[in-house]
Amino acid sequence: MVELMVAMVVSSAVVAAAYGSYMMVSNQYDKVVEISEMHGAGRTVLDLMSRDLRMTGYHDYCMNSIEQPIRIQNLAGSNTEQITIQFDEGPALTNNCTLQEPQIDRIRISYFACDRPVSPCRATGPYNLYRTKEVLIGAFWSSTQGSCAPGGRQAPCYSGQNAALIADNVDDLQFNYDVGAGYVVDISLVRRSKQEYGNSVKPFPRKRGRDYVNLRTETKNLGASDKFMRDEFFSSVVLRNLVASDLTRVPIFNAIETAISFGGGCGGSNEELFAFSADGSNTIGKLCCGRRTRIDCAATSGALANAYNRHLRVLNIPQALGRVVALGGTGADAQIQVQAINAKGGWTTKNYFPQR
Amino acid sequence: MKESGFTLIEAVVALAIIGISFAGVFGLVTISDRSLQGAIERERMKMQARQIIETVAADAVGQCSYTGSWVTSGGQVSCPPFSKTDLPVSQRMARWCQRMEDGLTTVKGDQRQIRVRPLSGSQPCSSSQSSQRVIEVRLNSGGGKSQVVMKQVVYVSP
Repeated sequence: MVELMVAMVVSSAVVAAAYGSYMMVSNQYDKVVEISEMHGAGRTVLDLMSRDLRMTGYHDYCMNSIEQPIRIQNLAGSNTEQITIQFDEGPALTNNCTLQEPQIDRIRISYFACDRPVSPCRATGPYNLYRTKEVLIGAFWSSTQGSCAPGGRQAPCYSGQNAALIADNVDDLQFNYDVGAGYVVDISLVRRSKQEYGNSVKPFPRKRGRDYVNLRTETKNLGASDKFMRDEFFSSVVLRNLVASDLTRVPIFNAIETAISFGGGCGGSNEELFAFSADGSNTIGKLCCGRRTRIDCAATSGALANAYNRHLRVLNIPQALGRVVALGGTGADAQIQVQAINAKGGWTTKNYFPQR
Repeated sequence: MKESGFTLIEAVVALAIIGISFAGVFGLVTISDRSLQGAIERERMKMQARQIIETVAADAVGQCSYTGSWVTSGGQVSCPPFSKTDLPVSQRMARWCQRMEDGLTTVKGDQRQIRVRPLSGSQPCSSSQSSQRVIEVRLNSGGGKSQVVMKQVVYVSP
């Protein structure tokens, strides 16, 4: 009887060890599969993005100029970024715009990471990576699903709820478009594994205090309290289509549209309009209105410069290249008029209603 | 008189053999984990090299300035500090160095090098000359255990 017991204990130990080693090997196998999936999809996605981004600002001879060829926004909730680019797509130049123009499409493409196709996004990952595509028809961007150009020349358009899902298990997506560093967009995409693995996993490969593309990745503290495998995918894309004038025009419009919201108003002679950061968390500056729709206090240029530098990482836009010319209204009617110098040396004017 | 069955010694020997074989299996897993880590690093190096070459090739103006090397000493690479006020070329070089320092195993003596030179002749790269240039990236990790060398020829007009 004793021998039998001993034999059973010994054999169960052997079976347990066999099971353990099987689990280890199979876990290892899963890990290899996951890593290759993580890398494969990560690279494919970056290639796809780079191909689109390279087209940014391509402007066909027969079309109006593109006001905002590139725009980078912070997505509320997830703290990831969305990039939106515009370019023209059509047959090669014929020098005959009446023939040419009907065949050219102005395309708008955006990429963003969110848990659903329409924000607000969840505060923590994993997110999906979405791509939207729209075409300009008349004065509106078509967002309906289906063939987006007249005559059905283009691939189907998709945006809003129909945004195309191109990758899952994305933890972060950040961009950097720095005027000071040339016509270059940096992309950073962080992907994670589907499941958690043991403690042999290396932490997310980034030391504290590093700011490769954007400080936001750093504040997410990825990998601090879980055991997912992660890797960060980088790419830099050079935007050859952007002419020098866009370097000033693009960021100043972007700055106004994405970094600032307004409170207060310029109804009376001594009233003040306040500028806030887009999420409303802190006051950037005070835009005083001396007369009804004119800003002429010194605080204005300082406040705007501050806004550019802190929220858009855009370097030094001189007043001679971009300026705020008028403010007016209260609440939903609060309006700001911005001018930026254009390619011909004149001023392009745009009106914004930040609270609408 | 002799009884049939196993003696204690036989049983212990059998157990030892089984134990050794399991140790082998566990060892195998460890080795596979290490080689997996190596594969990840090689993948990271390849991506980084590709990205460096793409960026250098596209920056026709600053191209000749992208020559630099970082050698590790005592397990640490001494990367130049990153500063937003630096020239774009210096910004990128600092970023690349830091990224590689963070993402790769770095052992003393590892070399990471970028070189831009004319395809022919022995003169250094000059921005005023129209030429064919070679962009060369050499990356090492784990004490030279894995190495990635990538080159691309670009045509430049002044």
